[in-house]
Amino acid sequence: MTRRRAWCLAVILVSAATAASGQQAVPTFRATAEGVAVLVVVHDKAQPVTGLTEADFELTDNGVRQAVATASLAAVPLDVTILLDTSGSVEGPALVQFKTDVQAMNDLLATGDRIRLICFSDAVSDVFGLQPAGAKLPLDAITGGGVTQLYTALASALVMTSGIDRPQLVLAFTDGRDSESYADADRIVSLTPFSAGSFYLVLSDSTSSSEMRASDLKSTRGVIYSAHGSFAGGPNRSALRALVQRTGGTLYERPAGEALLTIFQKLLADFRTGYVLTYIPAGVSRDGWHEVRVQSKNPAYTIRARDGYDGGR
Amino acid sequence: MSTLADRIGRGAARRQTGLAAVLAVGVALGSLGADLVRGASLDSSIRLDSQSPPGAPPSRVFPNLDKVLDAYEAHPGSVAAPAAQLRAILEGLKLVAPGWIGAAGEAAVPRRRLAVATFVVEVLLGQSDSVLWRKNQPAQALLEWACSLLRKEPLPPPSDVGEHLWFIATIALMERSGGSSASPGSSQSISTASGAVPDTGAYGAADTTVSQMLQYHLEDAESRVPDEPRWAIVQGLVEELRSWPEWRDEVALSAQPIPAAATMVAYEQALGRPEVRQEALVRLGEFELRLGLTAKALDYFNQAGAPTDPYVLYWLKLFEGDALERSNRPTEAIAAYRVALQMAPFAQTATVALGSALMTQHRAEEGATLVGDMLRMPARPDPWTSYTFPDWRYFPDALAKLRKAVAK
Repeated sequence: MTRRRAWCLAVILVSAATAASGQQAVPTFRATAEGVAVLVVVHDKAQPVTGLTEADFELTDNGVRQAVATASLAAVPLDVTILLDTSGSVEGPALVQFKTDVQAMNDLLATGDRIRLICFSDAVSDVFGLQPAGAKLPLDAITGGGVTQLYTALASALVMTSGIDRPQLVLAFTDGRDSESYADADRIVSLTPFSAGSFYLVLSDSTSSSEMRASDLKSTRGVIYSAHGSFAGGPNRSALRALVQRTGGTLYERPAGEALLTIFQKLLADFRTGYVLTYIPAGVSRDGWHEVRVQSKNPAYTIRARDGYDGGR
Repeated sequence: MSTLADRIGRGAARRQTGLAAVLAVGVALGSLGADLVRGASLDSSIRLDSQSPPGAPPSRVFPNLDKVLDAYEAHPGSVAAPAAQLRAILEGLKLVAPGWIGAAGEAAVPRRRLAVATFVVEVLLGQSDSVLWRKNQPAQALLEWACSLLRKEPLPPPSDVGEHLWFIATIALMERSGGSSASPGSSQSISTASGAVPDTGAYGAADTTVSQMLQYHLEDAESRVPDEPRWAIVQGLVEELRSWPEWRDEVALSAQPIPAAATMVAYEQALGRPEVRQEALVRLGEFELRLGLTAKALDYFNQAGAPTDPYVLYWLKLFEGDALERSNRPTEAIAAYRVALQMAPFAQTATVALGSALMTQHRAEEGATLVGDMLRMPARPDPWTSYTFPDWRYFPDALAKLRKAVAK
């Protein structure tokens, strides 16, 4: 592993020429350039803000202000990884609906995008690996039932989205609970500096969503419901929130009955309104943890971006 | 180095006491008994379905179980029984079993008593819902009844391994159902896949968790088969399960009033049994790791040496890798994970641990290749998933031998 390659691990790489020019252009993502790309989503009172340029941002890398170039994420091909919790009762109509939804999600992607589906229950497995969006997807391998290896799935996705020279959007549909993984939530959060994925977690209330959860009761460790109808133990929200915040994503609490497809559409649109800020780090050591702070010159705006990256050693 | 599957027979051959006396074949990795469970529901030789007409309440007493026992004795094999029928099966067995056991003459009584108890194991095999195994719930009641049936016999001589096998099998079943305990002090109504279980108001109080039921059953096992070294591990497990979270990191371990001392004492006592000493050391280390005491954990792992039991070696190297990573010794951690994977290639827990460790060491491509290969292939057996029911690895052989022992 070369030092040059190590520099590329935590973040998406962009053309040095693009970054250095300061021009607003679609960056060329390639693994050989030594640059940093930070994905940024900007909101004004929950509404996405579009049309910004590099003049609207201030970015510091380990406290040192950097010269950035800006491009819209709408124009950049991306990889979408869908993590689907199939540990509940996803049989019959619910399973058919899942397959329909995933195919429809695929149809919402743009030419040049790629999509992958990873399902998790007792085990974590690729239903299909990265493939060009738009085609008919091989969805027959989706099956349901069993216990939940959420953290194993998240760790797998973090590893699989490291060192790849395209924007990585990871959408996980889950109730947020894990009953089987060895890795814990802290471990998952500790891996975020090394991955390029932006994680969006969609949390379903397992007792209110139609496709879950009766078969969890057959799990090896059993399940206990509290008197008010929800699980005695809830998701580790603080850790899950840390995961999404540190990767520039978001935690979405799924209202009862809201279709997965609708949520996907919403979150994909949110991601697409974002920007890629690219820069060649200057005035900072390459190695170790780099804290990245992005601010808007308009104080009314809120900014979501990953909080840093590991620069290698 | 050979794989876990390769080493099964050799590892078993080295055990000379306790289990070795009754399980000559030893552990089988396979799918950790999943095939047996699946068989109980899909390909069962006997199916105990509801006899009630549609819409009618289920019968309180399952009919004709003497005929079912005849069939089972002739061809012992899996039995499919829905959870909703367990009470009726218990009542049916209470009614017919005493007569059936004696009907073939005095000489057949011990075998037939074991046959009925083994039939109960077959019925319980598919019942992994922990709720069913709590105090006064159907699975626990059925097991307790079968156990009392065996206890009517004089203590078996060491040469009679049937009861020994039965206790190994039933301890394994209880462990598997009870990887967690109810939250202390909570007031809960409990539902099952087969419908609501009446809230007796007792849940959350003492003596209701599966680990407590396991404790009671262990006492019976110790009284009937006193020299089995596995019981020392089970005693530690009984204590440890009380601190095992229902959901991963649902409650920080340090925030729980856990019975740490009891767990440590139980596993330390197991250190005195050479047959289970290495597993006890691994479990002590894992417990220290959960408490955040990494240095102590590593000390136990070092003492464990090189276990010959492939499950124990996998657990050891997985936990050791974790402890080494936490101690900022990533190169050694990666080496430990690799040893675990040599035992169980592409076991998901160790694969993801190794892939993650490689990523943090700026070897993302190597990590992604490893995890990608794992994701593309059918899931391989992962010994981690049986860590809280460690005797499950003996279950398939125990049941196979029981079936032979009870066949007419």
